[in-house]
Amino acid sequence: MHLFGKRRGEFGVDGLGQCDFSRGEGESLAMTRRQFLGRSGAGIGSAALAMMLAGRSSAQPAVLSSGVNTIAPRAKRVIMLTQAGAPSQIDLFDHKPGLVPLRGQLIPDSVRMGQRVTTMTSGQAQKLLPSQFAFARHGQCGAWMSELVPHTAKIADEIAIVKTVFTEQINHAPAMTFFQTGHQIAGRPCLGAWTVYGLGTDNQDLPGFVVMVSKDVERTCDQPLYEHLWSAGFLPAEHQGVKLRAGRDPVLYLPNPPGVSREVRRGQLDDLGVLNAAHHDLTGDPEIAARIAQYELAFRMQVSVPDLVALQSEPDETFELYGQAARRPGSYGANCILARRLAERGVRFIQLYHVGWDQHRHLPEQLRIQCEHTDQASAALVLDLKRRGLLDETLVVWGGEFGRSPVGQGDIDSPDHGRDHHPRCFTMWMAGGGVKPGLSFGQTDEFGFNIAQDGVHIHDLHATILHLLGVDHQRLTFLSQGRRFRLTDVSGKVVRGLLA
Amino acid sequence: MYRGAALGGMLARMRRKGGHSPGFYDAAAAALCSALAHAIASTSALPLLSSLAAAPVIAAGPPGTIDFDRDIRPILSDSCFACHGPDAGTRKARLRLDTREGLFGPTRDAADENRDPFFPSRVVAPGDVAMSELARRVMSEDEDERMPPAEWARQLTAEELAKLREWIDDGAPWSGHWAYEPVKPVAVPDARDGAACRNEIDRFVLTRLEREKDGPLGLSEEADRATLIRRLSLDLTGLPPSREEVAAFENDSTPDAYERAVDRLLASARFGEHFAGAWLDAARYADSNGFQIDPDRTAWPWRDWVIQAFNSNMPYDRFVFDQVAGDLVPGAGAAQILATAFNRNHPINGEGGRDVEESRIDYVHDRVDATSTAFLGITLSCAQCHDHKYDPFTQRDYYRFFAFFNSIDETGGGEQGDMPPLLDWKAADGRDLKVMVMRDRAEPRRTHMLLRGAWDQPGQEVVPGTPDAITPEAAAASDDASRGATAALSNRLALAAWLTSRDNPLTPRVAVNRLWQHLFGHGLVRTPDNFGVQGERPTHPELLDWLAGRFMESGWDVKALLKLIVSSATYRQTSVCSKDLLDRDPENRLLARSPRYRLAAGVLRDQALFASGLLVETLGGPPVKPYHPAGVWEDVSFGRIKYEPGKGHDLYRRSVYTFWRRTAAPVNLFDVPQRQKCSVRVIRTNTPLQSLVLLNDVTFAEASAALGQRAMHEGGTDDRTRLSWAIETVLSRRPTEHELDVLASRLGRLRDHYASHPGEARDAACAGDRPDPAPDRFTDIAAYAGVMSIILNLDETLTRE
Repeated sequence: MHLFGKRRGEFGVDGLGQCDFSRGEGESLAMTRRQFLGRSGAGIGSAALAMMLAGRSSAQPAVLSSGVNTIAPRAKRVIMLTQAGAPSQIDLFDHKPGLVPLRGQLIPDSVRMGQRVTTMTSGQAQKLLPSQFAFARHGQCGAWMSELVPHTAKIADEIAIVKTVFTEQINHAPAMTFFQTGHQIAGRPCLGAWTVYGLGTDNQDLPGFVVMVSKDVERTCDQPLYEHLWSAGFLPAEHQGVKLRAGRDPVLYLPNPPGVSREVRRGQLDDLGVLNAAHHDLTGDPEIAARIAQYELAFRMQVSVPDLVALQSEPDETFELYGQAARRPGSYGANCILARRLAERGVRFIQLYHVGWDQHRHLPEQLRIQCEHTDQASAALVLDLKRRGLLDETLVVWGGEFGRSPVGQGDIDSPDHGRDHHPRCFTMWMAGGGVKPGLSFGQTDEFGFNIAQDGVHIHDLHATILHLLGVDHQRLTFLSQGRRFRLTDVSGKVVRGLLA
Repeated sequence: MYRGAALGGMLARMRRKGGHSPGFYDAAAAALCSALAHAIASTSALPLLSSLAAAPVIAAGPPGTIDFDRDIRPILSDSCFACHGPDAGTRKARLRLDTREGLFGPTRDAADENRDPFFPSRVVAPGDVAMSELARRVMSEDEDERMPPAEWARQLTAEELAKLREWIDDGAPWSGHWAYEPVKPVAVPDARDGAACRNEIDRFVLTRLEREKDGPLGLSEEADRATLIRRLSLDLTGLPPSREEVAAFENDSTPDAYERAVDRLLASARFGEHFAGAWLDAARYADSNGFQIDPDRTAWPWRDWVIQAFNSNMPYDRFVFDQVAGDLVPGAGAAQILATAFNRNHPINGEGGRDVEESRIDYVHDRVDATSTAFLGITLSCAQCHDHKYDPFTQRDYYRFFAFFNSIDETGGGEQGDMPPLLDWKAADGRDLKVMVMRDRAEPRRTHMLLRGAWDQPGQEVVPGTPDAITPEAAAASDDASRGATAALSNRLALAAWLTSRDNPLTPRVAVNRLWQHLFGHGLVRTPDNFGVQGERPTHPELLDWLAGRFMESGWDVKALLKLIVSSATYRQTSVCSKDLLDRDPENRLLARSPRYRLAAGVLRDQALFASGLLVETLGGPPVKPYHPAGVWEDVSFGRIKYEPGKGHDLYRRSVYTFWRRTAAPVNLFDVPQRQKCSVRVIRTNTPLQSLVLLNDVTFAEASAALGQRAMHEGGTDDRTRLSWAIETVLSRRPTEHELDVLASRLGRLRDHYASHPGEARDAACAGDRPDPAPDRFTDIAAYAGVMSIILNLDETLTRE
């Protein structure tokens, strides 16, 4: 039994004896602990608070909510490389040479099967548009990839390319919300929050779930990303993602104000913890426990974050690997390096978002730019993890909230054409963490429009990610409003074919 | 009923109401009457009122029985509507389950002579599961027949299937979606424990508690007086009570002490400043245009109009009316025209090379979104590209609504901050300003449906109109035969009249819900931006309707409604919660205790300024720039826009006056919406980043030092007395001995520390831009500042108890 695995307000005392209260820093946490434990009549709340204050030792096995540790974990952590806006799989991965002779022809109704398109293409004929980019086979596995992703092509033997992911959502906000939470309406916990809720985290000095957002200077389109995408929903609030800013200060307000030393701050927080714990006992509100934990985490972040983001300590060779653009704070490349540093530090769930993939127009130019800004760093991250021995235990997932249509949008003979949204089949890739490398999974039809074989619903993807983390998606649940919710709702199946 | 008649009736009632802005509604009525003379002249308000009175009184449905709207529609909506719902574009098998006709109609092959007579011929046959095709398909053993299809994500659970069966067995009673049904009179229930009730609200809440399945619950006891006065002050004015106000309230044993405190707070100018905040979020108010160029705009006179509207207790119907169509009222005053800036608060994209018509269309879309979300709580914007997936709004409904906003005299082009049409506005300080407002072109634009929502893909032409699903009785008469007549009043004046009509089921419910949310942290409907089929149902549906009815009867009197709510025993409960109650109702949906929640970031800042004596209370005026981390604006604008913090008083104004750059909302105000679009949800997270703001922001460092100085100056002569004074000032209650022990001990240690670290002492004592204290006091002030920072960060300080 563990406090993270229980309902709010129901903090357990078991395992307290196993807690590691030692700290490397600060003057008086031991005193805090004594005060907590000394006030025995104050009830279990204080004991749980003491535990939260001390953090869980990484040596402790995490025995958490039901559904955890019932499966042998293959991955310890996840890095999601979320390509927001929907990358055009038909121009990157899903090679359809059969479309070339059909260019400009109407897509047969038998193929389209009533599929709606979204905002911009209804008034026009649905003309097939093959990719204008050159495809070739790569690696020993012979995976097809286009000229736009030369670096990803080089790691073809490290990744599993899944060509048949699908979703029901066809607009960005609901689709991204579904991709994150398994439900199209905002409000449920996201995958990262579920993961940290289930597994806790190994690094007590950084949030267990870190989010970073990048966008390009030359972007043409911005799909806004809302904070609710990394929210904890009805799970305890401390499981929500903490966003590192994309500016020069990854975390604002991190330094103490002038005249407040670290020693002074430690003393202040000790008292704050004591007084807040007393108030917790009085009101019974579990939110106070979370607040104490957040203040303590903030204190530890004052040291851990500057250390984390000190990319100047990286050798030049790192930037040769990830690309020189990674020297710009807030760039996708910089965030990929940070993802590796977070992985090294044992952060459980790391999620990058890169916006700007929504090429309704100017696809030939804009998709190229988008790839130039992301391809090298994505591949570098996989290589970097591998050479550091981290890839085996780190699951990397690349993809967007849906894909783009093999039908063109706008005048397909003009360079300002693009492609509309396509939820029926799109491509993601996964690497490390128990995924079979060098795999091409699933097949789309000759038009790249429908799934021909082995569809992977977003719920299936979620089930598989949790499975790789050693979590049974059907048993990781949380009671809210009288219903046991889970990430995969009432469906989802582990995609066995992806497992190494 | 003919739509015009409803409008005429509403206006007639407005005229008779009296007390509120005499003359205004006569003018509005005159405008409508001239457009629709034949329709309105013969209409009186009486039929409406009498029909309201004669309508059946809804009793709270007995628990345990199946209620279609509560139990069945959500199942159908979740699992079936995507293919058998309102969206004609994705409808399968020509079957729709979202309408009564579809749900009880014949199956597709009912008329087929060759069909097997043993199979159901109706989708749902009331009382006959065996002859209901719906039941047969969802319960089928045959995978090819069973619905939803096996690959569909939302499969039905055994419990849901049982409910469907029970509902059909019981005769399949049908009702419309609650939010689109008229607001009807509701009987106030009799709670068993009548003595626990202070007003009608409590009888609704207590009745619900008393019928809890796991044993009846009651209301919690009343909070102590110190908690009550702090709660009231924070809820109604956004600032804590002064020490004097706390003492006066605690010592006032007269029976109406509480009521007088409420009246005093509602009459304070701080009230409007506080309540304006949430409306600025809803109205996506900002001081710049947004997008890449993000030039400044002059919108603050409208913000001051909102504050003034709350402070003068403008009736809510007029608050709505003026913002939607104030400019169209004959003889409209400047303030009425200013009100329409509501619909010019949207972002403006002045990017060069952009098609100006595309931009203009974007602004119209935004007005539809803001108007339908803020006033109606519906997700009409979902129907921009296709029929709505869940709610009964067609794409045509969307573009008819769109048409109301499509004739603004604007071009969509340009890069300036303020784009015509503009109002010449004289500020209080005599300056002449120009503010973006609404004004229609002489010749209305034609409006076409936009295929897939694309601005350059016009489809069928539509005339302005409101969604048929809302107030259907009015809609029924407004079909093609009478469309010629309605076209005459199809401008924003008609929209405003429809929004504020007593027949509109959403406007009063949404308004009441938002005010409830303001006081309780959550609305009775916990999805304030979605009253539709996929939104949450009210936790107390009868109470919501009773309040909505009461609100309208009172003449949409906002302060009266707030007073009613805060006078209830429900509001006055303690927030202290037993473990048992917490387990039974962790989210406090039943209201058996007062909610406790973290105060908004702006309130926390204002509270710190207030307690430390730094707050500068000037009402209204141009936005100000308080302390803000360097580089935030520069980062988003690639160095183009620099943040220059203000000087003197500008640093200490209430947060509602903080300059709002749309591309970089103030980062010290965590959990605020970005104001890119309408937002009516409260975001309330708990992260380490907030702790860092509250501990490290200059505002709070300076407030800690200033509060310490105050404690030393006003709080007595010895440390314990001063610390006691500080706790009382911030928390409105006396400290415990334990608290004093902890803080006094810390004070002593900090004094020792700073005595040996004079540089640190100077820095801590001189935090911020306020005048530096005398150097011989640095050590003491720094030590006090360190302790005051603890007090300002106590969970209790951050929390509305």
